[in-house]
Amino acid sequence: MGWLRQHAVLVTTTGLLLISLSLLMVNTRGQRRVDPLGVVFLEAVTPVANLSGSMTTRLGDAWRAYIDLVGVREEREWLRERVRDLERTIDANLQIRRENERLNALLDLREALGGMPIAARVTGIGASPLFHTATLDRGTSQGILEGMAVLAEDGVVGRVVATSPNASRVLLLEDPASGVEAIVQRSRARGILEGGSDGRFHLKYIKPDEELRIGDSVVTSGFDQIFPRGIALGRIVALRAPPNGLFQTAEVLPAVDFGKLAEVLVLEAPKRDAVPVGGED
Amino acid sequence: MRAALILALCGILAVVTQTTLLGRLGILPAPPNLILILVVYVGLRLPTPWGALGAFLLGYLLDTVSGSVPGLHCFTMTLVFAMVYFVSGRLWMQNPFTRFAIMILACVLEVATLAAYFALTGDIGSTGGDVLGPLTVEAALALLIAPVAFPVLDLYIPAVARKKIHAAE
Repeated sequence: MGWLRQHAVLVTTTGLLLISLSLLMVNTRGQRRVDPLGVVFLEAVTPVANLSGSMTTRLGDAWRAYIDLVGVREEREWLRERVRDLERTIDANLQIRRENERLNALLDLREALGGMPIAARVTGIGASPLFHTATLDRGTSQGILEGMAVLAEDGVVGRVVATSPNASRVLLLEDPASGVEAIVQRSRARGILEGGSDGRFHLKYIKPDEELRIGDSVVTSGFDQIFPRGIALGRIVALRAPPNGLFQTAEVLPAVDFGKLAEVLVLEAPKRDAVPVGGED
Repeated sequence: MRAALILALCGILAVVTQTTLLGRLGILPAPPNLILILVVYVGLRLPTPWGALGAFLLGYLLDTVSGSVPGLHCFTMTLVFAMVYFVSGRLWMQNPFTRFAIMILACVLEVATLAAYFALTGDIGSTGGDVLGPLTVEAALALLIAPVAFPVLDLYIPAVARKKIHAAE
């Protein structure tokens, strides 16, 4: 009895092991399920299990809703990024298309002008508002010299005033210091077109008996030996009565948008008989 | 009596948590074996015949709720209790590292016993991985939870349990 009390745990454990092993063997081999305490335990657990089950269902639903929400958020971010990518691609394509159109127009102009005009890209516009200049990515190495005429697809841009081996500076026609001999295409009236600080050209020294109209196209005369004849300069938008009765003056809206210059042609030598570009009435 | 009631309540909560809450949420690959933690705790804190009966009943509870073969977990948990009882009688168990070590042994014994049963009977799965994978995961998770669970259980059970240990000695 003393031994039994001393080894009570050992005896109990061995007994329980034998019982559980028997239970296991009976349930493994036999056809009939032997589960004496199952009903009691199941009944004891059921209320807690039901409570936990409903809680779990709610928690599970909340968790799945959260996961779905996270998924939707991630998908939304992905879609936003995709839209941004596509917008960037569309912008790039649009830019390429516009550049292509400009280059095609420039190519037409080059063919119309004859000779070997030098194509150049505008890399910068003068930083000072007082001086209207632009920088080209071509210079003396490519054959550009001071005094050469610079044209864009829409008309006259200006003249080369400084060069370096791989760049050149252009005095734009909108600069007040610029000047070019011009004629009004409809009436053949001659004058001098000068730049202006207000974004308009001023066509000066026109005889008072010449008939000018708003909307008349103004082109280069070709007499200055710099610009070819018939290149568009702009359209008359305002007329001023001669204050002293000697000459008329007209305000001309430039044909070229100097703020959007991208590609230009630099003429090797002035051509007298060039085909007129733009400004046809 | 109080310790027995607390352990019974813990057993029910553990088995319900293991089978419903953690099992159905699907957050973990397999629910941790919380009953195993309780059995090891009982083996460490209640090395008495009542402790052995407690381990047996905890195993039976697990069989009732989640086992397909009554007696399997019953046998496994009693075996785990026996192992913990014998090892803890020969080692100083107040050190958390030795408690963790004995938890590792319990996990290995549980997985080995269940795997041996399935290997002998061929009840579940054709490959060992079908059985060993989930068993290893639930044992490993139990191993991670045990160091937190033991001190929490100490807060509610120690006074009664230790008295019983002294009485048994």
